[in-house]
Amino acid sequence: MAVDYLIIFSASAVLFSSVIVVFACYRAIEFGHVLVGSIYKRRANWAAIFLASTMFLTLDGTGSVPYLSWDNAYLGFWVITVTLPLFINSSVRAAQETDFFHRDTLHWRILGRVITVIAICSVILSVVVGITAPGGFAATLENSGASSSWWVPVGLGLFFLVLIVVSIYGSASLIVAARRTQDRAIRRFVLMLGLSLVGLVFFLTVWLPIDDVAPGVGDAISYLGFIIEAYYLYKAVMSLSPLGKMEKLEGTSGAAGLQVT
Amino acid sequence: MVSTGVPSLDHILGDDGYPDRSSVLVVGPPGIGKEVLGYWFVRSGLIQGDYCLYTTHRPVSDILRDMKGVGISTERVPEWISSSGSPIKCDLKDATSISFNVKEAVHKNMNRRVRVATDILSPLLVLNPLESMYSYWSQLLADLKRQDTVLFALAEDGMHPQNTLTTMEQLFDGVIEMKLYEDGLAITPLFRVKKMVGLPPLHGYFRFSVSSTGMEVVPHGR
Repeated sequence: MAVDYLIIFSASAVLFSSVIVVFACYRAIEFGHVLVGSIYKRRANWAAIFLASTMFLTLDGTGSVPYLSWDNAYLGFWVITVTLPLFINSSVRAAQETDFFHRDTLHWRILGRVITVIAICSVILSVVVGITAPGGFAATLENSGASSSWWVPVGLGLFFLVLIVVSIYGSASLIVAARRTQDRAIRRFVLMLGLSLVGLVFFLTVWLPIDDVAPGVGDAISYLGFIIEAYYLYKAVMSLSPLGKMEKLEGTSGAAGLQVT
Repeated sequence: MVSTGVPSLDHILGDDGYPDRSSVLVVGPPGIGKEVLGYWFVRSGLIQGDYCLYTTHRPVSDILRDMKGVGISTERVPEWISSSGSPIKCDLKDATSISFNVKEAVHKNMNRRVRVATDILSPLLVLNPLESMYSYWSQLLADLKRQDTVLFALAEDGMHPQNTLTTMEQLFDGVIEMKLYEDGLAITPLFRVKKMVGLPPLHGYFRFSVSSTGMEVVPHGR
C-alpha cells in the first residue's frame, strides 16, 4: 500500500506541475500577443515553446508514473536540445536590447548562432545513431545507448555533451547580459529561471541518497523538484513585463472607472 | 497643435494632437510599443513637411527595421543622431555634446516646425546623477521651446527608482504612461494620459493595439 501512496504522490506532483506549466505557457503566449517590440515578442513566444517542451520532457521522462510514460525518453531530450538554445538566444537578445551600450555578451551574437546550429546537428546525429545502431532504434533506447558498436555511445555521448555545453554557455551569457542591463524585470526573469534550474537539479539528484535508505521514497520526493521548477518557470514568465492590476472604482464604469493598484 | 500620427490618439487629445511648443514624455516598460508612438509622430511630421530629428542610443538600422516591422514606410526618414549609422554620433557618455548637436540641428531649421523624438532620457538618467539630469533636461527643453518645436521623449519603466521618473515627469508638458495590466486571465495593454498641458485631466484608460496597418487607441471598457 505504501508504494501505491508514493505513486499517487508522484503522479499528483507531475500533474500539479504540469498544470502550472500549462498556465505559464498560456501567459507566455498572451505576452507574445500583446508585446509590440519584436525582440520581446520573440522572447515571450520562445518562452511558451520552451515551456511546452519542458512539459513534454517531464511527461516523457516520468516512466514511473502510470499512463504518462511514453517509453521514449530521448524524444523529450531532442525537443529540449533544439528549443533551449533558441529560448536562451531570445532572452539574451532581449537583455542586450535593454543594455544601453548594446554590448555583445560573451560573443553571443556569433557563438549563439553557432551553438544553435551545433545543437540541431547533435539532435540529427543522435537520431541517425539511434536508427543505424545494431538492433535498431528501439534496442538502442532500451539499452540506454549502450551498444557493442563503439560509435553508438560516442554519438549519444556527443549529443548530451552538446546539451550540457549549451546549458552552461547559455546560462553564463544570460547571467552576464542580465547584470549589464538596468531593467529590473529582466534581472528578475533570469533569477526566476535560475531558481527553476535549482528545482530541476533537486529533481535529478535528491533521489540518489534517499533511495539507498528507503527505496521508492527518494523518487517520490524528487517530484517536489518538478513543482519547484514549474512554479519558478511561471514566475519567470510573469517577469517578461511588469504587470499592473486594475480595479473598478465604486460608482464609476467604463473607461473612467479604473484605478491602478 | 501637432498631430501624433495616430488619428485615434489625436481624437483623445482634443482632435489636434500634442500642443505646440510642448514636450511629451512616454513612460513604459521595454517592448510595450512606446517607440511606435515616436515612429508615427516622426512619420506624421515628415508627411507634413516638418523638420524631424531622431536622437537615439540605438543604431539607425535597428530603428528602420522596427519601423518596417510596424508598417511604417521608410522612404522618408528623419535626420539622425544615433550610436551608429548617422553622421552625427550619439555618445551617451557625453551628454553635453548630444544637447549641443540637438540644439544646433533645431536652430538650423528656425523657419520650420520641428519635431524631435528621443530615447536617450533613460540611459542618461542611469549614467548621471538625477540633479544634473534635471537641470540638463530643464535647460534643453527651455531652449527647444524658444522655437516651434515639439519634443517627444521615451522613458523606460522599471529601470529607475519611482521618484526619479516622478521628478522628470514634472519637467514635461505631457506625460503618457503605457503598461500591461492583468484583466482576469487576459493581459491587456493600456495607456493613460497622466497630464497634458491645455487639456482637462483625462481619467480614463485606453487600450491600444499595433498592427502593420497602424496604431489604434480606444477607450478601455467599451
